[in-house]
Amino acid sequence: MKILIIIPVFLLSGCAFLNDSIEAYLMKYDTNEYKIVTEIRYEAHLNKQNCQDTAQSKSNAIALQNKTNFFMMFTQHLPHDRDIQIASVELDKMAKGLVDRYNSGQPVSAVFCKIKFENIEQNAETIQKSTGSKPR
Amino acid sequence: MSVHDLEIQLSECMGSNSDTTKDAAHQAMQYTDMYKAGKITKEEYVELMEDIKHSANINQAMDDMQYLQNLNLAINGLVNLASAV
Repeated sequence: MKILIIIPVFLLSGCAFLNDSIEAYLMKYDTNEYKIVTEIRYEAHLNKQNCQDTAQSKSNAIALQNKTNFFMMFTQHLPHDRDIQIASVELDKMAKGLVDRYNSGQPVSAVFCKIKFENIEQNAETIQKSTGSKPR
Repeated sequence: MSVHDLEIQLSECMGSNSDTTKDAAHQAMQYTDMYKAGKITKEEYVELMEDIKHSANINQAMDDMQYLQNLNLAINGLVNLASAV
C-alpha cells in the first residue's frame, strides 16, 4: 500500500525532483556543524565591539577566519550537505576579505571593521537557523 | 551608465517583492552613502559590496535547503500516511 501512494508521486516528477527527494530524505542535523557556526556568530558578535583597537581587531579577524575556514573544511565532505557547503565557502570569503584588508598595510577604519563583523554575524545566524532546523 | 542611473536602479530594487533583494539594495545604498560621505575608503566600499554578493549566495543556498526540508516533511508525511493505511 505504501508503494501505491509513494511511487506515483516520484513517477509524476522528474529526475531532479527524485535527486532532491533523496537529498532531503538523507539530510540530517549535525551537532558539530551547529556548534561551529554558533561559535562563528558569537565571536563575530564579540569582535564587533573591539574595532577601535586596530591590533586587537586584526588578531580577532585572523582568529575568526581560521574558524570560518575550519567550518568550510568540516562541511566539505559531509554527505547530503551541499547547501551548507556552499554557504560555508561564502562565509569564509567574507571573513577573508577583512583579513585581507588588515594585511594590505592600508589603514582599516573602525566603521568598516564593525560592518564586516556584523555581516559575518548576520550570515552565520542565517546558516545557524537552517542548520538547526535540519531533521533529527 | 552613470552613478545616478545605478542609484535609480537600486531604488527600484528597494521596491522589490523579495525581502532578499530589498535588503541587498538597502545595504548597497547605505554603503554608497557612507563612501560618498568619506566614512569608508574605496577599497572598503568594494569589499562591502562583495559582501552583499556573498550574503545573496548564502540566502539562496539556505532557501534551497528550506525547500529540501519541506520536501523531507512531505516525504515523511507520505510514508506515515502510507503506513497508517
